[in-house]
Amino acid sequence: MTLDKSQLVKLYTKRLVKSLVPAEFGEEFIQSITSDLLVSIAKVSNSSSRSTSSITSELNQLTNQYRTQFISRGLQTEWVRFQTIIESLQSFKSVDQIYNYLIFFNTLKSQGTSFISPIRSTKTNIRNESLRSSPLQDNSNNKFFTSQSNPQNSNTMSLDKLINPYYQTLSEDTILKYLSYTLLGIDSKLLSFYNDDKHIQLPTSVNSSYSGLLFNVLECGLIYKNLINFIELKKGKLNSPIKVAYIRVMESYLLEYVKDINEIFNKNGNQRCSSLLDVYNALYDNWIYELRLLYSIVVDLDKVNGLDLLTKIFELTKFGDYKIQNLSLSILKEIIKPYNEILQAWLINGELIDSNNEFFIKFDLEKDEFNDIIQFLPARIPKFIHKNLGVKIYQIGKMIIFLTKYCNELQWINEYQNKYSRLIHDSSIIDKGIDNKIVLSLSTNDFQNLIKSQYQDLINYTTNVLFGSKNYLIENLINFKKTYFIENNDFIHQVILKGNDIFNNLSNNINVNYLSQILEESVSNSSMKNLKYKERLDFRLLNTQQGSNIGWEVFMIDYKFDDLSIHFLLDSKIMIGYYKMFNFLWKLRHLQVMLEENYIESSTLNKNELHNINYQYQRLRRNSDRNGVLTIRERKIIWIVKSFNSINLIRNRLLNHINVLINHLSYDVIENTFQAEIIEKVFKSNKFSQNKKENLLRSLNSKFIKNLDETNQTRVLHNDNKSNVNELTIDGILSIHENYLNQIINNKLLNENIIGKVTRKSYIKQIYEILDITFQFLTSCREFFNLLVNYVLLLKLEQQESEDNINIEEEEIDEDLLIVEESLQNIINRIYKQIYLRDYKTTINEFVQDLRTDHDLRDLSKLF
Amino acid sequence: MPGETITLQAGQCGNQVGLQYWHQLAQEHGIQPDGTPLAYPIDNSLTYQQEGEELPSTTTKFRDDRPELFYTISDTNKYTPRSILIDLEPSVINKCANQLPMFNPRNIHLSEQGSGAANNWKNGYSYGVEYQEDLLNLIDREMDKCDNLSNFQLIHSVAGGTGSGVGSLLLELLHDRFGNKKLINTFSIFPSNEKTSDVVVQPYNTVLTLKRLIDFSDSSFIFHNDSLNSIENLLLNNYNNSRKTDEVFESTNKLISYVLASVSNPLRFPGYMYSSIESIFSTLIPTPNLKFLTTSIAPFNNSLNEYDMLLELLNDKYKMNRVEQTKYISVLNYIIGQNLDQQEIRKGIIKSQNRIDFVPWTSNSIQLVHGKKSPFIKTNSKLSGIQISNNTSIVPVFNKILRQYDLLAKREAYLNSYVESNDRVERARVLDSFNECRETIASVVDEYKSCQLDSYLDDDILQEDEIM
Repeated sequence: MTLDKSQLVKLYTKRLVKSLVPAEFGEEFIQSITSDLLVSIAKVSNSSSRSTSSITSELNQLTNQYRTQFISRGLQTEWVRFQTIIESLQSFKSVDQIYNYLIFFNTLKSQGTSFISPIRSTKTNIRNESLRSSPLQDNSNNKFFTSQSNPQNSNTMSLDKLINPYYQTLSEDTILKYLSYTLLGIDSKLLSFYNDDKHIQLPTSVNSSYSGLLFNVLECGLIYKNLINFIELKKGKLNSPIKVAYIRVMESYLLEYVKDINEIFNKNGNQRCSSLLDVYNALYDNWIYELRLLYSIVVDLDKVNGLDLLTKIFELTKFGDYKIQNLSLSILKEIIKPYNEILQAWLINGELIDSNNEFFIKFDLEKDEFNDIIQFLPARIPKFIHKNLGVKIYQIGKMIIFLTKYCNELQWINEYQNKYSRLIHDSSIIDKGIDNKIVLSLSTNDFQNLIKSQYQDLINYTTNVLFGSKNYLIENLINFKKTYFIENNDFIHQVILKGNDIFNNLSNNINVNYLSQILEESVSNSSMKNLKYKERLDFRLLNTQQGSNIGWEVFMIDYKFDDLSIHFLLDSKIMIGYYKMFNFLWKLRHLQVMLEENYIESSTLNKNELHNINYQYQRLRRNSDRNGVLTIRERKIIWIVKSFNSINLIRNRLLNHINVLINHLSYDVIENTFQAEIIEKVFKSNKFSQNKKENLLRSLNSKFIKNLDETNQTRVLHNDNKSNVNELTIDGILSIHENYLNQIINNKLLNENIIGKVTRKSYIKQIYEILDITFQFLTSCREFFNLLVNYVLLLKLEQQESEDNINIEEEEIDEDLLIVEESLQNIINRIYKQIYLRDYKTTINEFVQDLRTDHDLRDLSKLF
Repeated sequence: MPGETITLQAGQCGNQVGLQYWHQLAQEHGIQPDGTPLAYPIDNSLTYQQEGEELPSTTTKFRDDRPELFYTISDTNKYTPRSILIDLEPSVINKCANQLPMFNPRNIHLSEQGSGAANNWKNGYSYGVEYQEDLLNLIDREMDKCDNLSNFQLIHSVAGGTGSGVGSLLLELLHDRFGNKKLINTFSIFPSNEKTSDVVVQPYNTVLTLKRLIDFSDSSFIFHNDSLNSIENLLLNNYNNSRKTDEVFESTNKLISYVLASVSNPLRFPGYMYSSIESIFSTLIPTPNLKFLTTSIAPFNNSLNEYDMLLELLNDKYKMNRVEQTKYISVLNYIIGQNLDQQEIRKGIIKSQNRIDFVPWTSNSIQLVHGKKSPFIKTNSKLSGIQISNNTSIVPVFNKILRQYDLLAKREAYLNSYVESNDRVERARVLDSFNECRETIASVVDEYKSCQLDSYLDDDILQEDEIM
């Protein structure tokens, strides 16, 4: 064969030279060029050890000699053509190739067609045909067939002649020779890529049969070329690690492809494919799907983010076609690695290394509070992670962060990290990838169990930290209730009494030292004295505009718990609810205490100053039964005693209302809500009920339990919650608490938006009106008591003087008496007619009517 | 100002009841008879606990209750009742000192003769006058131990000699010395109304004492022996009449002391409301002229829930004085227990309100104390309940006393034991002062009668523009 070939090379070289060199140079000249060329070709074939550059330079030397000859004859065009061909010969590596090439040339020459003929309409296009399943399926679409040298007068031709043109073709060998380049994305004289790299021009000399095959085979080349272009374009420019991983996967596939192509077209003898059909089969089986899949993803790569890419590939792993399924699975395995790294960092360290914003958890660094910073984006949970599992994953990292950053539970976290990194490394959960990086197979049961186990460990410990002796969450909530909701009423009562003088001042004028003094005295005179949390109490005055409020309005109790980790959960935003509630309850308590003090005052007055007047009244009453005629003075005494009595009764009614309000808010609102929203939600209905439940199950159906146990054994760890508290995530706890607090501060009586049906006024507005009336009453009553004392004193003086018969100052006393009587009349009128009859009665009646028409508050209406 | 209470227990009855009362308080605060405290039980029901974890069940550092309102606590952590024990004969006081060595022996005042007051008010009163310096010293000393004295409470009987006589003097002394801003409250046990008493001068004693209650106390709880006996039978299902008189008295005293102790439950175990005696009285006593309070006790029955208990409290047979066709001025119910069911309470309160006949001018509302059960009391009964009310049942009670008094006074019977000498002037003087007391009581009856009318608050006289 080699001998034949070298002869053939000789022959064809001669023919080539003859065809290129114009005849006027003469046979001799042609001969000399031919022999020179042959020498150089022989050198190429024999000296595989020599460097290509030296060959090139020799060739150049050679061609330069002939160049002068061409140029001197004015044959520039021919020279260029000649030189191009010589150069193209240079690129071949073996004589075989040169031989094939030359034969091809010859054929071209004999057909009289130029191989650089203008492009015809036949071209193969990856875009239109990329995913066709069979290369020969639908030839009507193949323009190549329809337009290729259709015989003109078929009727007149013999069948032989008719069919012959179809058999005329570029030889398969030639095609094969060029094909490998094209398949590797290199332009060749036979097949060249369009500038857009989306089309390849097929020569018209290829017949339908080959072009059909080529059409399909070349798709690989086109895709390859595009993919390579894409890689070059994007390499180092992609942010998403998932996309980068995809590019990497693609690169390794393409490398394989190149290897395979080289193998298919092995030039060293053991060529795997000897025909176009072989090539087609080889590619079709191994590559076309891969390339198409890789390409189909690349097409949209810019439009999607890493997560979408991941999801897309994950979806493809469920594709019906086994090949696609396998291929996507192996792609997924690779591109999931960056995602896994994010996931793992999150699950083990609570770190977010998602630089490209693709994870379903985000940090909002503009926020200040722990709970606002970590954000959960359920929409971003990839499809291969179940939503519930996603929630658990979110909570896991959140708990790790909370325990590490806010609770300083470093030792426990360290143990946790050791345990789970080891578990991930050692157990069957791991699928060690090529680069030995750990890959969690996210959709497996093992993974789910791992998450469940981590979650369980963390939630148990977080529960322990929050509810146990480190934070005493429930105890602190109870203490909030005791302080802000005034469950420790005796303490607040003391504060009101001890601060009575100071709180009447403007807040500007109240010294902080006074506050601490009141605090100290109130603590030591109340049940607070023996309570564990008394040290946490503090007083402050709310900041208001220029301190223009009096102490009563701005006084605030402060329960300090910033030494506890729960402080980060119950931030100042949340605590405002407590402050609001305290402010209102404090007002109620203040009035309540004032009314009680008023009672004591009146009782004392009655026993002391009014003792005589009462005695006179008794006698008058008993005597009036007998004769019924009263002097003016006697009438005045009855009037005074009656007024005193009535004012006491009014006070008692006002006090009752305040008591009913406090009672309702304390027990029906606060305690009920605490019981329903905190106790019942936080504590298990039965202590350690879970085990009891299991025991119950066990007694019901032992077989079922056996199955259950078997399933349980497959779980990674068996770590159930064994406390009396329900498993609650941080979010869960916060939402329970928020709900509890909201129900209290927005209960119907206090919510400004709840309007009474009768009055069209909000309940709270009406309550404030009642409180205002109460306050007016108290102020007037104080005045009344003072006047009463004066009056009684004057009466006594008058009496003494009349007894002692001293008349000198009697007029003066009478005058004083008259003044005091007038004032008394005024104040009694104010209290009785204005405050009681006009204001109080109307307001309370309307309020009760409103309550009565409100289904939820009907019961309350009956207590007023 | 809310703070400590000093108890004065005078006479046999006062000290008998006082003994039981301090037993009850000691039990509720975990104080042993010698005054040493037990560790305070911790309520772990709302504490995080892991399975198998043992939480401490008691503490000596912290406590929720306020025994210091009723006890002085020494540096050696010994609890001593803030109580002064007064009697003219030693038997009961000795019993007290023996059973409860926690009593401060220096707070015991015993007559040197030890002969008693012979069921005569005058004897007791005169004795008191004679020893008033001693008595005041005792009171002053106890007062000095208080940071914030709020209230004196006197436990006594109104019918005998010491409780009524010394008790009356004590009220006068307290009023004179502390009457300004310190509340004076009495738990007064009234004699049998129905049966003829073995003490013939009971009506005199009672009238004389009542006058002091009216003048000097801020509130008086009335207990009626007859009613107490029948309640006791009802509550304890004790129909066995063969018991000794002593035993009967003891269980009656236990009942009274149980109620006495319960009254101060919200002070000693403070919560949202009624953590001061002032808050209780100001709710119950609308005006100082209506200050006689009646109590009733709910049966100790574990099957009763809050609702049942509130209704039981309305039942006249559990009232501690006889009541017929009563109108109510105010009602304060106590439900004492743990984790009270607010819904049942509300239901019970509304139902009770419908059943109770209130005087017209009041707000028809029953107030409620959500009492806390002492953590030291480990009995099965989940709930207990008492009721304090201000009602017109005082009218028949006082009228009956007045009738009995009138019967004696008309004949000037047994007057000689109340006079200095038997001459006419002295008898007339004494009878005059007796009648003055009678009139004062009658005026209270009048007050309680007139308060049943609308005009009690909305009197025409207040509507007039020109009264002066």
